[in-house]
Amino acid sequence: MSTSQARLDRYRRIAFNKRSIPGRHGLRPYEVEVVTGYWSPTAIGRGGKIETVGPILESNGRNPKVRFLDEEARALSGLNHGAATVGPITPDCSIGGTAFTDIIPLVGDYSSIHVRLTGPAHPNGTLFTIKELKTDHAIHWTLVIEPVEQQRLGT
Amino acid sequence: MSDSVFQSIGATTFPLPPATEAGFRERDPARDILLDLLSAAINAELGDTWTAAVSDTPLRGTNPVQTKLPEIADLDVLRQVKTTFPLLTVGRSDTPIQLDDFSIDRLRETTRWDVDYILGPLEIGNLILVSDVLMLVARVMSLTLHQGGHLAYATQTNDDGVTTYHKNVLGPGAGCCNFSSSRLVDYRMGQAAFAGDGPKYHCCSVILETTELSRIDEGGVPAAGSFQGTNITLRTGTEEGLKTIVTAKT
Repeated sequence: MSTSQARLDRYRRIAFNKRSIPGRHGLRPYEVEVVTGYWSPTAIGRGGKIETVGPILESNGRNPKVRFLDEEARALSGLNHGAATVGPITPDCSIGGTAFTDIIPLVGDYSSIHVRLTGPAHPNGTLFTIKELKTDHAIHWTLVIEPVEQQRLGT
Repeated sequence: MSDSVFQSIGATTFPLPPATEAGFRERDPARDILLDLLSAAINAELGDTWTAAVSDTPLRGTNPVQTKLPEIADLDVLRQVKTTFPLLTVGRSDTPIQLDDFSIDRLRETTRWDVDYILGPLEIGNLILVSDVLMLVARVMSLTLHQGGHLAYATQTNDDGVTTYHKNVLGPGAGCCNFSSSRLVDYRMGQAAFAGDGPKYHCCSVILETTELSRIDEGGVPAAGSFQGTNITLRTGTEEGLKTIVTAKT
């Protein structure tokens, strides 16, 4: 590992640990998962859906920050009601973090990719579309998501 | 006997027969048949030429239709589903479906369909190299619709037991679209509507028009014998003075 790479890894490790502190104190109430849906090999919406779920977490399994955008932010960015940002997400480093392919999995054609938020405003989980994944910062990434489907109510 | 209108329109029959698969696809298979038919036709007609033409472009290793989507493509859909270009999409248009009386007891439903063939984003050199395929695709679609099917999708054997020809899957029959008519209305080449300010997704947008007729399910209509009662009188004519012509009494 070159010096610059080692430094980057060190910064990410620090960020990874620090970003879990609010979660440790119960201040990150939303679970965030990347949901991949596999349908038939030839078409989406045919046959049954098989889901694969991968959580986005900071160190010690703590939830990341989720922020629902206010009216002004939504208007400026052309997003719909309920849009949110997830992050800062710590990119993968030597002690953990989230790889790009954890957020945008390498899936075959006809697979669907969503983000599911579960928390106070979405107690049964709601699927969100990924509008943007901002990866232009070396130490934090941000997901911009919009709601697409409310999950069924609990039994 | 179930409560129903005992009628059909297009490939949809009421009461609905028992389901054999999840969803509503088998209740009105027209969209999926159109998608699979056009995809098979384009791949069969253009396949070999395509392989040679795109060998030095990012489309190398794909078929003329690499993925297909039974839904009108917009940015929101493409953000949710992994698709490889070229992409063929078929869906009912958001323009209103027209209903009119075809005959005294038959309704006619006229539907417009949006069909998009999307090449994806290409730099100018590659675009000039392959963009004429958009015109070819539209012509394949037009001719396929005109003859009602394609050998690459479904075949049928003639009465002589030897000759094989394309099955008319747009017309009547089980597993067919049950269209009364179908035609390609118009097509245009350009940027896909969903692309917005992002990269240019080069596309051929086609509008189809189909008509479907209703029909009464004679076998399902309650029989006259189920009309219960005694001393019932049925008359033609009116109370306003027209003379009774026929009277039937039970």
